[in-house]
Amino acid sequence: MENNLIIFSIICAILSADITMFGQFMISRPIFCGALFGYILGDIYTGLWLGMIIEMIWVNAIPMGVAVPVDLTMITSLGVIWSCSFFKGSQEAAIFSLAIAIPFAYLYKEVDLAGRLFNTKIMHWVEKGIEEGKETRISDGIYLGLFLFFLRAFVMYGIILFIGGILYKGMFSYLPLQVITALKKAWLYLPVFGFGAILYNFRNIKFPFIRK
Amino acid sequence: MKMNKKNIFLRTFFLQALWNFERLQNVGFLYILYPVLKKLYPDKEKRKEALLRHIGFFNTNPYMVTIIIAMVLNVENDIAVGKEQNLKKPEIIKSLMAGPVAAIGDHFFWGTVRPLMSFIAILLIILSLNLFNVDYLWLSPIIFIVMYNIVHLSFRYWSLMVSFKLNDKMIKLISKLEIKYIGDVFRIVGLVVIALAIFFYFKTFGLVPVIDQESNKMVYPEMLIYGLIFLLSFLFGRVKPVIMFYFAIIFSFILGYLGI
Repeated sequence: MENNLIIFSIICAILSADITMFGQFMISRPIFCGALFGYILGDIYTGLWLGMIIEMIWVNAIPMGVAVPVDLTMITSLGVIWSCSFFKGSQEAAIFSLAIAIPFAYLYKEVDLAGRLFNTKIMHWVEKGIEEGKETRISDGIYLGLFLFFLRAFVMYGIILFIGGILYKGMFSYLPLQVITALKKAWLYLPVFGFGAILYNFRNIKFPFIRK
Repeated sequence: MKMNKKNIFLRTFFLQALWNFERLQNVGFLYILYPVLKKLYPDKEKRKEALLRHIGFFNTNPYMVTIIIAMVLNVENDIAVGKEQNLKKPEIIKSLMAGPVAAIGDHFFWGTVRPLMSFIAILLIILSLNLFNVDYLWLSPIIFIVMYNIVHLSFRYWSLMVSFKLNDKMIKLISKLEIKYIGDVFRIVGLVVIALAIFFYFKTFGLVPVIDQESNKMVYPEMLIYGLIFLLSFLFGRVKPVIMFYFAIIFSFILGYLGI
């Protein structure tokens, strides 16, 4: 993993930009990015499985209005990259990687929020520019916003992939057998929790065929 | 005035590039309008006025912004040629339209189409493990991306082009399209797809019969556990996903500890 750290960070930053910053083509969704990293690292099954779990459990996490949900792209990408790099084919290691990745995703959310706060300053710089007749600041502001997002995502992914990877690898090697067994079971149980979460979120479906 | 609609369409992808907590998508919106406003107002002072009209708060669903963009540019065109005297009309359109179209977009795209496409992908993953060959696993994320973007991109492009022609009549067209009705149908299809996924999942991983030593009968121990998990997750569906995730691991640990 260490050899490809920069490439992985670049891909992760591009995928992460899809959540709000550019396009929203859904390449940031766990089902896609999990499969992508799984494919790159030669274990598409693990990548898809982890992506499927995150996709189902966080079925309702949508960036709407000022709400900034936790970065699911980060949870999935970190999980798949760590597990496929260090313990390829191990189901228990894959689930453990997600458990370690989640706190890092919450940390990244805080950095992302700080970045969005900084965007307000850029926005005022653009506004002032327009007042002074410097219209190029509109496109400059947009590209600067994108660049700063990419830069902080790239740096954060690089640091987290590296430090978190060491932490994950070290911790997994010391896990007691009972925990390993539990993680192996969770590989099959987590999708069932996901199914339950989906059905809960879809419980209020109205049948459009019965209309007044 | 002739507008480069393809350029406008491409610029809509940048709507949230400078998303900020104070005025959300304002600079992104201005970025989309800018090339047209530059042509509409060759006079620098008039252009400055027009640009400052759009620097205020703006927030809508990024897929639905095309409708507002077209309507605002039509009004800006009328202002530029002197047909429209009310300079506040673009702002009024933005503030009146942003909320309702965002509600439609959020419900239809975020709450219906995206989950439906991911459910189809999930069903394909489980079917690949059950009926098909695992070599075809890569197909499910590709199908997810292609299907979602066919719906999303065609709607974005179509709504921009039609909104330019129809202007405020576009609201009537959207209400006639009955997007809520289509959304409800999609949600039912999604429910059927996920029901199939659950069936095949349990068939693949849950119905492994074990012969009970005492009664000499076939029993399905995993099925009971899955049933319990399913019930638990449905009953506590309101809890945060992160809590559900860690609870699932703790639950697996308890089962392991109990020797189940």
